[in-house]
Amino acid sequence: MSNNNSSYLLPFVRAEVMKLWALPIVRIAMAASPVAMYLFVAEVYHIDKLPLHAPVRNLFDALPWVLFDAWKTLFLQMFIVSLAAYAASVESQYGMIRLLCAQPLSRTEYVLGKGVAISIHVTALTLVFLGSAVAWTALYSGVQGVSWADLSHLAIYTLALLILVQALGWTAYSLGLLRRTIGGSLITAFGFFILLTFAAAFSSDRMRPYFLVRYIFFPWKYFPRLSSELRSIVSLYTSLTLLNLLLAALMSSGLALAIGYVSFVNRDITE
Amino acid sequence: MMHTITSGRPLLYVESLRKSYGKVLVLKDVSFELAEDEIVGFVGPNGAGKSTTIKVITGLVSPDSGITRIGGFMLASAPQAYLRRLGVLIESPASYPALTAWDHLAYLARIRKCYNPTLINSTLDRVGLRHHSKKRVSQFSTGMRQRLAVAMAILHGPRILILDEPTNGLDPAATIEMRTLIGELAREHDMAVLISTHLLHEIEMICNRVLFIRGGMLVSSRALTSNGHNDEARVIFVTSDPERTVAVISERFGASSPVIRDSHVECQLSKPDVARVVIRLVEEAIDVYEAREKRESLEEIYVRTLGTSRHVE
Repeated sequence: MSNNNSSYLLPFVRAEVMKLWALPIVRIAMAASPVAMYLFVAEVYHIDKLPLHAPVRNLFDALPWVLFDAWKTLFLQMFIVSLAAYAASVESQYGMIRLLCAQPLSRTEYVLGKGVAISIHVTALTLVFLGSAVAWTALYSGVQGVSWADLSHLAIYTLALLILVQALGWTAYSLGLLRRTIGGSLITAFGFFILLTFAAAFSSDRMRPYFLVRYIFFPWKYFPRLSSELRSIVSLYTSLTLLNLLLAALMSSGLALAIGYVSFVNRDITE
Repeated sequence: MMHTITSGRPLLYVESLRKSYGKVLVLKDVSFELAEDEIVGFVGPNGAGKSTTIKVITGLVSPDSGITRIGGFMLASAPQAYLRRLGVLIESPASYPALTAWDHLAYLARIRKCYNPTLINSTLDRVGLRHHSKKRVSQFSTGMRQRLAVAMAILHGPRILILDEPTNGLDPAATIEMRTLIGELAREHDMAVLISTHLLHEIEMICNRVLFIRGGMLVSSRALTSNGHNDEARVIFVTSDPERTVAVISERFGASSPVIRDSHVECQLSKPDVARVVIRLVEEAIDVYEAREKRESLEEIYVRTLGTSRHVE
């Protein structure tokens, strides 16, 4: 038996990542992403017939439409909220919490380790989601004429999207820690998400920008060739920067994490 | 009061545990020790404080006061060292239905920094699940889930095994298998085992000692021999003269309250004294037709110690 008193955080993160990957729901979502994204691409090209209404020189003329269509269906957001809420309470639901909290793992390591593992899966899924959109759109419209400016816009968009989804994931996870069943955790996390969508209606004059909801459609402002519909939506965010998004994400998920953490480390495991 | 062990080197120390939930005092004063190789039964009525005691020992519940330590490691000040030496199965067997038996052990092995496929395979072998290692737990029977829970508890080679209701929901064959497995683990790996269960027969079959808890307090600790019975015995003598037999036993051996029942004499004696009593009776010209041990079952001991009241204190 090892007498090593070092941290169990990294082994726990690794174990959690592998465990989450072993769950069918995660692998199905990863596999379903490219298929679902193809449906959005097909909608833009075959149903909306985008090339008939607007000049499509390469993928970057169509990509905002595809991504925005996919984002509006809440496919990615719902999955992230569901995964985070599920992972937060699956141990309590099935009694594994009794076993895990009797491991040589502090409650702090437990909360942080699980959050990081969820965060890794959220990042992977978001990159698969985005990569599928880029790949399918490139297949339809090609890459001819793509400039470094287009690629840098895509990079900043990717960064903004990752910050946004991490904030969603950490907040849903942290709120899920307050509950002891998967159902309760999902209800709490979705309740939070519904609040976000309502709060998005507030203008920046009425609500300070240090609030996650203001940024739901923020990442799209980095696409240069936006339609008038998209342009009107992102115009709300033109005065805000990537740093504002990061600050808001840290504050909102940090607040939720503090609440979830304090509740979890101080509670008796009686379930 | 500390309920000490009868033999062996103490491994687990539980001292003066107190715990309340709101205004309800669930544990008033629980103290005992557990020695290596010892299998100790933990019995009491519902609401007596068994599960709470176990949850405090395993770090799931914080006590209001009192300490638990394994060797020199206290749970409060050295939780990693303490918990590394502990294996637990608490209440119903916990598992992720969508994962396989292998996934479960790999998960825990990674957390405990002892991931090794050989170790996982040998542990699955130990509990008889090697051939089901790739099957999802949702397809397991209750007995298989219980065995997986034991595998998860023993994977890292703990010094102390805490089992709360390990035979809960098992059929008779699976119960026998579980009992055999627990006995083997204690013998072959020098583990100390604490078992909480309502099945007194199981305790009687497997335990060296039994702790009785009622109303959040340990009320008695009783040693059992390896075959499940006490060194002191209740003995029945069938003789030609019961009255004189009672007189001889009382005067010469100081046995506790010999009584005449259905024309035979019944008393509490140490086992070596039984032969001496027979010799003495013969010397006193009393014919001895029969001298045998009246075995008091753990159920009878339980009733005598804790009563039959279902009232939750």
